Amino acid sequence: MNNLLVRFVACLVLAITWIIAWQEILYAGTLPGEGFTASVLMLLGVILQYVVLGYEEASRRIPPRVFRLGLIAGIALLLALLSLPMLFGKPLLTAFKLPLGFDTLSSTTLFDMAIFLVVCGGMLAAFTNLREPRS
Amino acid sequence: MEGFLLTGLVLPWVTALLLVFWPRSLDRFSPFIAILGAGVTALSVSVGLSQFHATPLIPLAFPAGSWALDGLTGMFMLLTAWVHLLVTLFSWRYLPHAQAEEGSERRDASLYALVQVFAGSMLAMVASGNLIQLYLFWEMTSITSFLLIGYWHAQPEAREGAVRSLVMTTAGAVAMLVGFLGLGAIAGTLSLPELLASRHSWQASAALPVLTALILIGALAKSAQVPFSGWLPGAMTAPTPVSAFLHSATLIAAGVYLLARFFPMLHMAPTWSAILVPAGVIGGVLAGIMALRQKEIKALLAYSTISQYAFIFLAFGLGTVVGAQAAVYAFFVHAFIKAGLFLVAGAVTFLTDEKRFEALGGLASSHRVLAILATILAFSLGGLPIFGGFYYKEELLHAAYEQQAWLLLASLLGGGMLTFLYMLRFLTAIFWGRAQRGGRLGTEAKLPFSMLAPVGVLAGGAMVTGIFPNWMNVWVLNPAMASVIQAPADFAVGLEVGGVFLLSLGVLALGGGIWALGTRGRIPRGWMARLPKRFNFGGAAGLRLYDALSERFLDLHGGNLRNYLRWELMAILGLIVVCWWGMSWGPGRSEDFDLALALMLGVCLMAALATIWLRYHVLAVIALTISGYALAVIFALMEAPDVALAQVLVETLATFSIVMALRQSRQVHPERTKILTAGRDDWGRWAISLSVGGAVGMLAYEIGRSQPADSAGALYASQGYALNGMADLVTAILADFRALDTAVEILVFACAAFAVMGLFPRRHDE
Repeated sequence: MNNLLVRFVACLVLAITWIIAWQEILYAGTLPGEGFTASVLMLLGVILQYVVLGYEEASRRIPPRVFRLGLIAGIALLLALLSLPMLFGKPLLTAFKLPLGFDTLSSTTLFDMAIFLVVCGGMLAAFTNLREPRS
Repeated sequence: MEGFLLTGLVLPWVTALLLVFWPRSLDRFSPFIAILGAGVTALSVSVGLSQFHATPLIPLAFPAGSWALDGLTGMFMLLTAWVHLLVTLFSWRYLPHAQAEEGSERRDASLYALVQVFAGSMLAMVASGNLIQLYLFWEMTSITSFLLIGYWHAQPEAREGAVRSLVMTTAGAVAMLVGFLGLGAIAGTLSLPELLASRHSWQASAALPVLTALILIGALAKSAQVPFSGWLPGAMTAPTPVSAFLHSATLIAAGVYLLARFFPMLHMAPTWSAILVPAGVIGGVLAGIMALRQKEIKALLAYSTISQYAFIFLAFGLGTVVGAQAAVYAFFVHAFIKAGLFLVAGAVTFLTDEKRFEALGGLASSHRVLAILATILAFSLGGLPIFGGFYYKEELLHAAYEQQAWLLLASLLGGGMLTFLYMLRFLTAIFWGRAQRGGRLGTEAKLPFSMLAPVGVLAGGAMVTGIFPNWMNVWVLNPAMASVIQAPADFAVGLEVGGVFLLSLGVLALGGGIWALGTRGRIPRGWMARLPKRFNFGGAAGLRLYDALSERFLDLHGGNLRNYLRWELMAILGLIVVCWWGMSWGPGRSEDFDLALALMLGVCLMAALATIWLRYHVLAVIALTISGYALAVIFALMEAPDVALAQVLVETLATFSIVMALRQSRQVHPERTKILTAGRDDWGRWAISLSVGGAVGMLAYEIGRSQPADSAGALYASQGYALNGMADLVTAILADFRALDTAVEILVFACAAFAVMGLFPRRHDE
C-alpha cells in the first residue's frame, strides 16, 4: 500500500475527520451530530491510517498510548461531570453553563467530549491492543 | 460537630490520594503521612461522635450522598478509626523489614494508601444512610481487601487467597443486594432511617423470610462464617498489620454491622434464627478445633477469629434483647483483643522471621514486656477471670442460659474451652521453653517502641475491661445497644451464670496448665492428625464449580467464528422474543410513497438476497457492499448526512478488511474459494438463520409501521429548546434528557475496552 496517492488521501481523510469531529462536538447543540458520531468518524479516520500505512508506521505517528490516555481521561471527565453537581447539592449530571462567555458552550459540550474520548479512545486502545496478543 | 465527622469521613481518601502521588524518592516519609492522616481521622471521628448518643438514626446534612448516624455507627467508627491508627503506627517499622523479607519491590506508600482507602470505605459504609450506598462501600471494602490480601502478588498463595476472598465476599454481596432491593420493594424506601421507622408496617410481608436469608448470606460470606469460611485462612497472606486491621475491627466486622443494623427489622423472621444458630454452633466448634491443629501463628488466629465471630453470630441469632446485647459487647471486646494478638504475631515474625510454632520458643526470656502483653491478650481471649474476655464469654453464656438452650450452652462452653486451649498453645509455643536459634534478627533484637506501644495500648484495654468491665458502657456500648434493640439500653455486665462458668474454667485452667507444661503446647499427633487440614465447609466445592463454569465460558471463545455467530444470533433471537412479550405496539401510520427511497430499498434488498445464492466469497462481499452503499443513500435521502458519511466509511473499511482477509486466507488455503454452505440436511443452521432473519425482519417492520401512542418524543420535540436551549434534538436527548443512560452506556463501553485489553495483554517490548 505504499502508493503515494493513497497515503495522501489517508492523511487528508484524517485531517478532515479531525475537523468534522470537533465541529460535531462544539456544535452538538445546534447541528446534527454529537459525541458518538464524532467518535465514529474519528475512529474511521485513524483506522484508515493503520490500514494504509501499516501498524509500524501508523503507531509511530500516533502512538497507541494516546488512545489509552484518551480513554482514561474520558472516564475521569465523565466521573467529574457526574459528581461535580452533587458537591453543590444538585442532582447527578445537572447541566451548567461554562463561564467562558459563550452561550453555546455548556457542560453538555464537555459531556460530548467525554463520550468522544471514551468511545474513540476505548475502541482504538482495544484495536491496537489486539494486534499482537501474547501466545 | 458535623464538621469533624465530615473530616473523618473525607480525610482517609485525601490521605490516600496524597500517598498515591507521593514521589518515590520520598517513600521513607510516607509512613508519617499515613500516621498523621490516621491520627487526625481518629481524633475528628472521636470529637465528632461525642454528641451523637441518641437512639434514632439521625440523617446528616452533608452535601453529597446519604448519611445517617446513631450509637451503632459510632461504635464501629471509633473502632475502625483507632485500630487503623494503631495498625499504621505498627506498620511504620514493621513494613520495611517485611518487604525485604518477601523480596518485594512495592513501595510502602502503596500499602498505606490502600489501608487508608479501606478505612475510608469502612467508615463511609457504617455511616451510610441508604442501602445502595451501604452496598457500594461494602463492595469497596471487598475490593480494597482483595488488593491488600494480594499485596505481595509475586507469591501464588497471595494471589489465590486474594481471589478466593473476592469471589466469596462479592458472591455473598450480590445475594445481599438482591435482599436489599427486595426490602426496598416491600417497604417502599431504601433509606435506613425510614426503613427503621416504618418497620412495623412491612414486617408481616410474606417475602421477609426469603429477604432475610439473602441478607444473611451477605453477612455470613463477609464474616467468613460457615459455610463461606474457606477464604479467611487464605487471606492470611496479607502483611500482618493489615490482617490485624481487616480481621479484628473492620472487614469481617462488616458482617456483624449488618446483623446489628438489621436486627430490629429482621430478627422476628423465622429464617433469622434458623440460619444463624446452626451456622454459629457448627462454625464456632469446628473452627475452634481447627485452630488447635494449625502450625502457623496467623493461621491459628484466623481460625480463632472464625470461631469467635461464630459465637457472636449465634448470640445475634437467638433474637433476644439479651443475646443482641451480649453480641455487641462480645464484638467490641473481641475486636481489640484480636487486633492485639495479630500485632503480637507481627512482632514475633519481625523478631525471628518465623511463622511456624515448631521453630519458635523461649521468647519470654529475651522479650519480657512483649511476653507479658501477649499473656494478657491470650488470657483475655481465653476468657480467664480478671482478663478482658472473661465477661464477654460470660455474657454469651448468659444469653444462651436465658433461653434455656442447653445445646447452645454446651457448644459455647466447649468453644470456650477450645479457645483457652489454643491460646495456651499460642503462648507456650512462642514464649515458653528453650530459645530457638535462627532468624535474621535473632532473639537479641530489640522491638521498636512504635511496635510495642500499639500492642501495649490494646493489651491495656483488655486488662482494664477485665477489671472494670463496664467502663465503656456509657460512652460507646449503651448507645450502640440502644440502636440495635431500638429501646433505651442500660447494659451492665454481671455474673448471671458465673458459678458454672467459673467452675468449668477452673478445671480447664488446671488441666490445660498440666497439659501445656507436659507437651509445651504441641498437639499429640495421633488423634489430631485425622482431621483434615482445612475446613472449607463447602467453600472449596463452590470455588471448583466457579472454576468449571469459567472454563466452560472460556471454551466458548475457542476461535470458531461460526460458534460465536451461533451464540450471538441465538442471543438476539432470545432478546427479540422476550421483548415481543412485553411490547404493545401503537397505532399504525402511513407514509407517502417516495420513489427514490423505494428504489434504494429495492437495491438494498436485492443485493442482500443475492448473497444467499452467490457462490464465491468476493462476489458475496461486493453484493453486501452494494447493499451498504444503498443504505447510505437512504440515510442521505432521509436528511441525515452525518450518519450517511459514517455508513460510507464503515462500508468501505469493512469491505476493504474482508477483502484483505480473503487474500490472506487464499495464500494459506488456495482451494477454498467457494463459500462453504450449509448442507440441505443441516436443520439446526437453517432453523437459526431463518428464525433470526424472520424475527429481525418482523421487528423492523413493526417498528417502521407503528407509532408509539404516548412517547416522550413529542414532549422533547415541543419543549426541548425551552428546557435545555439545544436545537438538535438528538444531542438534547443523548446529553441532557437521557444523559444518565448515555453515561452508563459509555462506562459499559469503557469496561468492554478494558476487558479486551486484559484478555489480550500487550507484549512488553511495545
